[in-house]
Amino acid sequence: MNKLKLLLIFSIFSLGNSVAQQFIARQGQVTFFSYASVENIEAKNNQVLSILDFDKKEIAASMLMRAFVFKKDLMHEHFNDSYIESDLYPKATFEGFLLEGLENAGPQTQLIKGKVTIHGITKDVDIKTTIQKTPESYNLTGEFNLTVNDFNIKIPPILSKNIAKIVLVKFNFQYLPHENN
Amino acid sequence: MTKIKYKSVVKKYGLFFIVVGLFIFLFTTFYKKGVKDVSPKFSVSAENVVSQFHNNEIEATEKYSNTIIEVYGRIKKISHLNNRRTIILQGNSSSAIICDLDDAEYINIDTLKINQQLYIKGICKGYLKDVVLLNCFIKTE
Repeated sequence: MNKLKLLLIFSIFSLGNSVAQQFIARQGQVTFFSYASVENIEAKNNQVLSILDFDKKEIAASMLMRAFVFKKDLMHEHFNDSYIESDLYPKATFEGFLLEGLENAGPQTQLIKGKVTIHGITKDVDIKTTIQKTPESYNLTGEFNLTVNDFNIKIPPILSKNIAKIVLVKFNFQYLPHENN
Repeated sequence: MTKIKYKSVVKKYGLFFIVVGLFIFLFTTFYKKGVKDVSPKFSVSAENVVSQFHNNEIEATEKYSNTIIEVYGRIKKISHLNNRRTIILQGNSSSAIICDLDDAEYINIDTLKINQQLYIKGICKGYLKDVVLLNCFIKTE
């Protein structure tokens, strides 16, 4: 089912003759930050896949939850085994669209509207992103907040002070033309 | 006299053995073997592992995910993106193996060449469009 969904997401981008406008990031970076009274937690995933289609103004991303790297092994273990349940929900995905087309070469700020799926739960999100064009690539950066409770993640009361209720997510993608990858 | 001497020896060396015992206990309890010291569960070509994920992702994920594997293949790309040292091994025409090197792997990846054949050991994290391996070490022999 997951494979079917993923195929569906990525087949959106392989239809028609708009291949020239498709860009891919295979090593996108997503970092999340949890600032809580007891401790701060930061985790980084450097292998996030994303495809961007400027013709259709569509964007999709997929990441492996087990590929998040934490400073402490115990945090990694709790995140995957207790909270995200990575064996059941190994991936988080995002599907969305840019509200405007890309008009000039300079950096520009745009809004992406889309749906993020984590822990099997899908929520609408609006993400502000900065798009920067370089001679070889497009770079997208930005940040947004996610509410832990929205994704049915159960945190034992004893640990509730260790984890923020709202988690900050930062992203940084470098897209290259699809056919060269 | 002898009894007192015996007691003093026991006291002196007993403490030494307790300290050593405690050290061994703590070491065996808390020391965690890194990827470098562990034999891979599977040794497989880059092309083969990509093909297994491509044909049946669920089965391949069950087999390889969170497991230490050794993959051999040719270097497609060397990357310093995100301040990480990453070697991308050629899988098939559209998919590859993304190998993120462990911080304890001291090799200078700029000395490696595209198309060079390598053995890389790491923890398999799963498959997106490529297979992802973290904490990788390169086998040089």
